[in-house]
Amino acid sequence: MSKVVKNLREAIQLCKLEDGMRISFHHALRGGDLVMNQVLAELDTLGMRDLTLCASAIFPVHEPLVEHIKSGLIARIETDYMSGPVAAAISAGLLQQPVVFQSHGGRADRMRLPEYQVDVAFIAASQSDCMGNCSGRNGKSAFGSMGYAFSDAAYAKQVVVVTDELVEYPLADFSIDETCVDYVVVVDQIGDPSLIATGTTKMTRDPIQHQIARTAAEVIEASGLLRDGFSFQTGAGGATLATAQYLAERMKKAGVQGGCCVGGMTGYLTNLLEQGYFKTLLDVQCFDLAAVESLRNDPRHREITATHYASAAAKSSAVNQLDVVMLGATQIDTAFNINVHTDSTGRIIGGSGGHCDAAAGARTTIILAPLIRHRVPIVVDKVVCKSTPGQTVDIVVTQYGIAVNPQRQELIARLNDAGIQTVPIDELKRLAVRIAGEPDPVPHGTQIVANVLYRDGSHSDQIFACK
Amino acid sequence: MRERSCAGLQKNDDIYIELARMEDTDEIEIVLCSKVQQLYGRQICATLKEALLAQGITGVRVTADDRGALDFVVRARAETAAMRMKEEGEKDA
Repeated sequence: MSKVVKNLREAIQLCKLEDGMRISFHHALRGGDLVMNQVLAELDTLGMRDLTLCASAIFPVHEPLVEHIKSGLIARIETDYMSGPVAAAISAGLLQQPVVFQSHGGRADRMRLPEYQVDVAFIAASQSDCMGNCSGRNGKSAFGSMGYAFSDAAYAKQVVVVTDELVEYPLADFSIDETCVDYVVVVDQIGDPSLIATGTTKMTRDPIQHQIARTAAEVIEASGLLRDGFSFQTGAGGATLATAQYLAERMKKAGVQGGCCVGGMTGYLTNLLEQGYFKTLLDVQCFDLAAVESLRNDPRHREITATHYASAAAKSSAVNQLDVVMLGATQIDTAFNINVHTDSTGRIIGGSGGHCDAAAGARTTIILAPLIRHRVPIVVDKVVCKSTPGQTVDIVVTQYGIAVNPQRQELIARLNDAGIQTVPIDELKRLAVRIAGEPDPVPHGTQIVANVLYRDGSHSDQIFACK
Repeated sequence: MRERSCAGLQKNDDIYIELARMEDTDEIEIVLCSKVQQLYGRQICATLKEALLAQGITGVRVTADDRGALDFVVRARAETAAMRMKEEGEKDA
């Protein structure tokens, strides 16, 4: 027996995919993904309409989606993150139904609910056997962790594995196993792994970001968090990645060995594992090829599911063990609410990903951001979009000062005892305006283009069309 | 007076400004392209105009490419472009 079918079209037909159904994709190939485009093109050829697209993230490579929205193939989108032409089209009001933004943990939890069950999940895998045991670790298009695909495989009614390397049964080193796979399709190419490390996952060379990163490392040590076995997550963008480097210097000096790093992995973090700074990496996605290689070779580097990473509904998840997480922001308001969905004018440029999950789980959440980015104040009175609620945010580090959530008086005292000055966040806001000038208000349209859900599925905010 | 002048760089946090003399007018015409157009476009135009007038420059078309320059940078680049325009010389600055 074999589950291998001739092509995508045959798989779609065997799945009896119909108008109005829900289809899903995972984003481990990030900017190099070719599977979503291939499947949507095939669905379009078959004349499908009115589908709901449940994609864990949407990148510039998915530009053809704009045409599929116009044609009516895709009528609803649920995602954790979107950037590039699709995000611009959504902000312009192209899609009548508001996009549903979830967090990584929230997406995995929502998929289990019968009303949100996916009809057909298309799962990119860099290797699969004929029965659908598959993984992203090996093969010409290896992308590493399949973290976000596990919930799709587990909960979708039907599962199609899409691979560009069919191997002999059984693929011993599988991530997703055959028990939930219906069909296997072999295509020429699932993606270009060299494009995984695009967008937010590169080490910054900006001296301001490095200054912020150095300060953040100092704050972490002064907070008393640098203890043997401490666990840690860093986002991928801007200063957060650099902080890991500065933190390692301090760990070495203090003779501290960390426990685990959680979340998205990069070569910077796998180096820290190899050099003994941390004992374990819990990897929900690989942000570069060094991380892919480490996942393949180092048993201390473990792949975890999005549920294991960030679920609020599971009996436990890894974010709850975090001592400290460092995250970015496009806006921070004086109530410590964070925006990572839009820019300062309300245009969609990203999404939560695991931002609000990690902030909620971690003992200490540190936001790293410049006070001003190309004249635009980052610390403001009110964020355009509340992605992560202020009560889950503890410290904001900018190049002009450190603000601590007033709910965390003991943290303020501890930092002050260590000789670190903190400032009220209102003062950072005033300083930003003094330097940049008060920006003119930006009017928005009346159409709601996206609803932002918090990780538990509750409503967090809405995003309006741009004028 | 020269026919045209320029100042600044087409780089982040800076503004590139070109001035070109216009015939038969005392107006300052501004064509601004800014990455912070909605937030600061109005203020950038006001600063450009004010800085040029302070230098006694009128009857020019200003073409500006702003990449998020702070107000003092906008002012300084405008002044520099104005001074370059007022310099004696054969060639355009």
